[in-house]
Amino acid sequence: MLVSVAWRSLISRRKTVLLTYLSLVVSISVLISVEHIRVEAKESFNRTISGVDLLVGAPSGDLNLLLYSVFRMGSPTNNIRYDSFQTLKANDSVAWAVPISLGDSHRGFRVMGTNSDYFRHFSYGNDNRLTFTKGKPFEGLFDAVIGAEVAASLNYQQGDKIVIAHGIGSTSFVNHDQAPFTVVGVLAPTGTPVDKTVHVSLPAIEAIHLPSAQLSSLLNAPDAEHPVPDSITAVLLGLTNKFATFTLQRQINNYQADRLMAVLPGVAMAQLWELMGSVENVLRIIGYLVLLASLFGLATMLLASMNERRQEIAVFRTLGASPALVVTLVIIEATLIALSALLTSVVVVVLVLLTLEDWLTAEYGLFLSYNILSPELLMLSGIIVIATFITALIPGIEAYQKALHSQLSD
Amino acid sequence: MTQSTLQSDATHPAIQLSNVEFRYPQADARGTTLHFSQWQVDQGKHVFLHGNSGSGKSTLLNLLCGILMPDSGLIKLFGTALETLPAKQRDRFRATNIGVVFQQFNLIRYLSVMQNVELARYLANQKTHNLKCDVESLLDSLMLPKRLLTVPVSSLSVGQQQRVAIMRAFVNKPRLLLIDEPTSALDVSARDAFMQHLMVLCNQNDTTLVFVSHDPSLRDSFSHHTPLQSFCTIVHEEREQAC
Repeated sequence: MLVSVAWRSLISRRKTVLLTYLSLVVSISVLISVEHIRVEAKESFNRTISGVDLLVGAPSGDLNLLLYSVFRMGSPTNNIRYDSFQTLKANDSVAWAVPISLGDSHRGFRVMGTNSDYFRHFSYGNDNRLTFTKGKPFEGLFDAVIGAEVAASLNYQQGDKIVIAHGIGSTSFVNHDQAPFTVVGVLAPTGTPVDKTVHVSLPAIEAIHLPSAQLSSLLNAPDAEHPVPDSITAVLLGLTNKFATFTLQRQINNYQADRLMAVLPGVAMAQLWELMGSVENVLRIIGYLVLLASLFGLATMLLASMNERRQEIAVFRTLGASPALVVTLVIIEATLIALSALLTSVVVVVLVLLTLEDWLTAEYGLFLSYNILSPELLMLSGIIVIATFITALIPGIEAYQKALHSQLSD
Repeated sequence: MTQSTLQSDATHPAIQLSNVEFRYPQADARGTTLHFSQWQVDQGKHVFLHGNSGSGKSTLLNLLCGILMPDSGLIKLFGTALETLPAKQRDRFRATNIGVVFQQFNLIRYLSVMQNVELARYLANQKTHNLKCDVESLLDSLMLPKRLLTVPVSSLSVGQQQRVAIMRAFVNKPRLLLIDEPTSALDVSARDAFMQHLMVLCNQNDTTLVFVSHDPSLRDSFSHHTPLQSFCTIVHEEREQAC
């Protein structure tokens, strides 16, 4: 009965209520969006790599190694020797080792030299393996496998020829025109930096950096022995026994034959996310401040209506309503507005995400799910309801005072 | 105190006032106190209470229905001393035993006629299963068409609103009905119709009625008329006058 009365009371003041409701819809939508993007970003971030127990590269810093080897961001300060990779691969604790070599690019997309083990062992998200939408892993020296976003952005098909440029800028003055690569495979989308990567073999990276004459002779004799790299950028390691991780890490860090550094991807990821945490917190604070402003608007609207509701409160009192019941009515009104705004905001955010999903992926490489239902959303809803309840106490107290002093013929 | 225990005790007067003093809060009337000496209304009586403007008629009704509490003295309704009841029980006592109709603004304007009636039943904590039947019977008694039930009260005429207020007051079958200047906004024919319906319902329900009005022409409808000054005195800070 009280909910019905509160609802009709709100309808009778529909103009001011509608404006307050819209203000709440905007602020709650902002808050839900910020929270959803934060959760999705974190998930997307954490899904970038899985199943790799150690990252090994030249000593530079945990974050730097993680950024260039996994996120393809920044540049390696130094390389490690190829025979170090072979030593690591031969270690009893190592189940698999994948070398990677970075430093070249193709029209703004990073080129990564690796071997076919990469397609077998690299995993992302919840232990998902790489799959091909078209073609297969590289076999020939100048074969290339491209990520989904590279294929979509540059409209590449299997069999297309691509030229790799030296350096990592989108514009390069040194192109390896002499040795074009053939696209032999296109990977399925992963929502990770893999989508933005052109994968070639390690000998191919070595070959395109050979002097022009040597490269020509190699091109003219396809059956000739492939060049062996001297150095690589980093190694991804999977171990046979997780308990050996720290022991092996220590051994690698103390390795005398080369300057190596091993980091645990999870630890480095946590460090990186911690750095981004301040941005995340700023966004959250802005969202909560917007919500607070709207809730004060709600309280102001209800407070301003109290004077014109003196007679109504008097009628409630003469009918036997206690002052507490009058306060309850005001709180129900505030809660109804907030809950309606919350539901509308959820629908608005889902519809916006559904509408913009493809565009966000195409333009910004953002994989934002439209499924916003999460424990975080539940917690946020709880916070909004509690904050509404507390804010509604301001007009509630005014209603209580008016109810206590309301009289017939007032 | 429940309605059933009250009904079993029919020997008590409906209203009993004894040396009641009410001091107005400072902001309302500086240093003014109302003193009600002795006043009693027997159950089932219909009393016409008259007095000048500002003589304390509305304050008396507020005291009788327990919205205002006296500073001293005794107010008993059907043998129950109001000041002995906690605030919550006093509100419940009012909801179940007292009907109130005042000059205007009796109804919640954003609710329909039926919702206003349902609200009164809800606040009295009474069952609603026979509400429709009760309402239809009251509509007949008050000569109101059934279609009004779903109409918002804001679209009713003043006369219709006053009759709906009476209907809402009677839906809980109150033992005491307090009415404050209900006909001041009505023309003569509407006023006469209102009085006729009111008296019929009070007689049917054996309801005690206290009817406050300026209008001396209404006195003839009542068996008892009491001038307020016969038992009420206004005491100012330095001087004293009869109500």
